[in-house]
Formats: sequence, C-alpha cells, structure tokens
Amino acid sequence: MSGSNSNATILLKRVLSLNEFSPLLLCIDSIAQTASYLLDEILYNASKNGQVSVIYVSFESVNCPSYATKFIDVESVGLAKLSQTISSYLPSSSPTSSGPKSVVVVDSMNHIPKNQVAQFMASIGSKHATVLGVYHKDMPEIADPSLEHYPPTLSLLYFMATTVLEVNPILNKELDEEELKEELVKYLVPRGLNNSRFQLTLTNRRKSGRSLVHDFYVDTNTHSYEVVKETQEADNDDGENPEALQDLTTFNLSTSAKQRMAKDQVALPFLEAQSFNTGGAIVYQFEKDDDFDEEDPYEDPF
Amino acid sequence: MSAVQRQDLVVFNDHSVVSDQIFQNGFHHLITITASPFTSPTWLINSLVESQILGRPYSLNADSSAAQGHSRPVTVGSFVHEPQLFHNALGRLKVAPQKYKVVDLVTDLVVKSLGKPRSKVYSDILQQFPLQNQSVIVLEQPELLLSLLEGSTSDEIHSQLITPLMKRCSVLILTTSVYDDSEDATRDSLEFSRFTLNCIYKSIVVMSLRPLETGRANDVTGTLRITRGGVRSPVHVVENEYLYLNQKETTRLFYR
Repeated sequence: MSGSNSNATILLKRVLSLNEFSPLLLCIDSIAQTASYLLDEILYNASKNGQVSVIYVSFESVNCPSYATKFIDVESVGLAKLSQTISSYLPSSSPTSSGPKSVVVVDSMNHIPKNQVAQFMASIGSKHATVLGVYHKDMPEIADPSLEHYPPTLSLLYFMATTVLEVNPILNKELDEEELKEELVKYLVPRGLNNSRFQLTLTNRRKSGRSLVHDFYVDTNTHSYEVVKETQEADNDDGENPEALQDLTTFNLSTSAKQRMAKDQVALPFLEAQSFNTGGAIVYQFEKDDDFDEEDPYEDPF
Repeated sequence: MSAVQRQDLVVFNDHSVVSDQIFQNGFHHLITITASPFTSPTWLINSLVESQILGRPYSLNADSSAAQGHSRPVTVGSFVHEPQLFHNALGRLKVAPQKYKVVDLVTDLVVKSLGKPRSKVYSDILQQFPLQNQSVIVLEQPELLLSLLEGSTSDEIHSQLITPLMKRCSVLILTTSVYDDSEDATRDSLEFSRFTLNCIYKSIVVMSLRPLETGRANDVTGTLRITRGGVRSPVHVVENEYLYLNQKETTRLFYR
C-alpha cells in the first residue's frame, strides 16, 4: 500500500511540474474552492524545473497574475481571433531543452460556446504547449435549442483531457457535504473555504486507456502532498466490536475467532436452494396414511 | 438583544472595512454583496460609501480604535433606487454631497435604450462613471439588465459592463439580489444563477445578507456573512458572520 501511495505522490509531482506531457490539463473547481491556488501550485512546480512561458487567456480576470508572461483579454481580442492570437505566441517548433516550456492558462472554459470548444482546443493544442483549462462545475450551462443533442462542455473537455484535476475544499467538523451543498445552492459560501489547503482528485489517463484516480490533500503553503487514506469504516460495518459488548451482561455476547470461522462456513438454506443439483425430479414418498387407489388413473402422480 | 454588545464591521485583517492595501499596485478588485428580497443591502451600501469617504463607517462602528482609511472618490449607480435615496441617506450620515457622485440608472433606462444596440446601451452606462484610479464604484443590481434588455446574457453583461467598470476604478462593489429556486431550470433563472456565480468567482470578498432561517424576530433583521471569494485577496479577509438589526435610521451589528 505504501508503495502505491508513494507512486501516487510521484505521479502528482510529475503532473504538477508538467513533466507528464498532456495537451490539456483540465482543472475543475467550484465557488467552494476555486482553482487559483492550484494554478499557483502548478506554476510553482513547473518553474522549479526551468523557465516557463505562461500565456494567460482571460475571460474573467482583470488583473494580470504575477506568473503570466503574456496576458490576453478575450473581450478586446474577440473570441473569433482568440486561437490565432494564442498561436502567435506559441513556439512553432519543438522547444530546445534549454528553451522555456509554454503553458496556456484559460481562466474559465465556461465562456467558450460548447460547439466551439473542440475547434478551440484543436487550433491551439500542439506538442509544444500545455493548455491549463479551468472549468467551473457549478456554473450552469445555457441550453442552446439548436444544439439540443450536443454533449455538455464538461463532457467534451473531460473526453479531451488526459489529466483531470478536481479541487474540493477540506471540510471542517462543523460542516458536512450535505450542508455545504445546501449553502452553495443559496450562493452562500461557508466560512473557511477557498483555502490554501484543499483536496485534489487527480485522474490520469495512461496511453493504455487505463485511468488512475488518486486523492490528495494539498497544502500550497508548504507545497506538501498527502495521499488521502480511505477510511476503514465500510469494512468494519459487519464486524463486531467486542469492547462495546463488555460488561453489558454476564452472558458472553462476543464470538471467538474459531466461532466466527465456523459461522462463515455455514451454508445458508437459500444458498443451498440456488444449487439445482437434484435435477428437478419430484420424488414421491408414499406414507402410511396416504390413500392410494390403483384403479384411479388420475391418482397416480407419475 | 440590547444587553448584547454591538460589534464593528471589519472585513480585512488590518481592522479595515476596505483595506488601503488593495488600492495599491494598480489592481482592480471586485467585492460582491448578495442579498435576498427580504434583506435589502441599502444600509450596507451607505455604510461602505461612508467608510470610503470618511475613512471609517462611523454610523456602524462605535469603536474609535478602528483603522482610519484614506478618503476616496466614490460613484454610486443603482438600477433600482433613485439618486435622491442615496443623497438623503448619505446626508443623514453627514457625508458631504460633493465627495460622491450618484449616477441615475433608473429613470427611463428602457425608453432611452429603445432601438439601440445593446453594446451602445452598455457603453452609455459606462460613460457615466468616471475613469479614476484609486476610486470606488458601487453598482446596485446590474442583473436587472437581464430582464430589461432583450437578448442580453449574463456573459455579455459581465464582459461588456462589469469587467470594463472594474477597469475604471480600483474597487467595484456590486450588489446582486439572489434567486435560489433550484427546481427552476428556465433559461432566465439559469442566466441569473450564472451571473451571481460569475460575480463570486471574480470577487475577493463576498458579503451575504440573508434573513434569519428560523423566522422573523423583532430584534434581528438578518445575518451578514463575510467570506473569501474566488480571487485571492492581497490582504487577509476576516471571515465572519454577524447578526444585524435595522432600526429607523441606524443599523447595529452583533456577533453570531
């Protein structure tokens, strides 16, 4: 188990430092925990391994982030010319080992019409650049009657992305998932969210088609990643807790290991009924009180 | 409730309502106030305007040790209230009328916009706000444009009005009335929802005004919750929840 945990952390570090090549890294967020901390973390890791050239495509942001090399305001460029503008900043050939890595950050993919998402990605996607696209999962998509049977943007992006990073808040004791959902529906952000410590679900699709899913707690202050350990509660549900049964009565309520093993081996009647070994034959056993008339043709069951 | 100690409104951890530090570096920030039909944000707008002009919301905060900020030019625009309402309320708070400007966005907005393309309507609204660094703009209920202008969308209002307005000042304070019927999946309700969520994603601070969930009370009007928004603030936001009571001419805050 510890081996797979360390592998997961290594994989996350490779993804965050952009060593694991992916044309589209999809970051899914919500108002409870936005992707801003995650973007900072990715660019922190990526810049550790060498220079990074960041083209920031802004649908929402007004301020140019400190890590951005180029800031493209979509409103002033226009959606039609956007991919052309981005491409003009991207290297045309494979960057040399000393050259900077190119990253295109799109601050909200929600604003690209769903029938243009594939086209947009195809036009800017190249072997030399990684697109870091943020998608707000709680923002409703406005249905277009002419695209009634078209898949939603998130499905399209999910299909295109080789790596998906989903951020969620780490909930404190006072708040459970149900309450959080109720509050967010009312546009109320509970206190303590949008924190520098958050939960991250990494879905990494390998070339073989197998996808690996790992959960982490990420602390962007210390840049530490911890694998979320599955709680054992589900496994313990049917197991008994001998301490809880102690001193309740003078009877022995708990079972020993030997008794439990014997209990597991008992073949339950309904399981016996499932195995049709008898072949469906009706076996008639004549009893002494049975009134059997040899003359009656209908009496004989055979 | 009278025995309960009243509290001061503090949003940032330098004990300020709107920190001086967020006016630095030439950045533009958004603060969103979400309100419900039962908890009008007018008192909060007035207090915020007062705090920006006088340096502190004197009407709300009794504590004299609180940080004294700089005086800044403020422009208020409302899609629901006439300018006179702000002049009266701010006059009562002893804010000199020459220190602020109120833009009339209510009178004949629809009549004036008839036959004009929507982009012209947005630019006409924008032109009424001065382009001034280090200034504050307050905009009340711009989501009404979704209903007032035919064919307008949330994305369009954000890209053609809200974002350009943010670029005209250092801090844009935007109030929006929320509509939270999760069963309603009509196009209009989705546009309203998209508008509000987009505001929250762009904000450094979200202030939510809601009525009491337990029902009506004589000594509490509602709750004011202050939380971080989707954008990281340069100054730490003190997340807090207050109870507040609107009286005839004053509002008092209490800790929850």
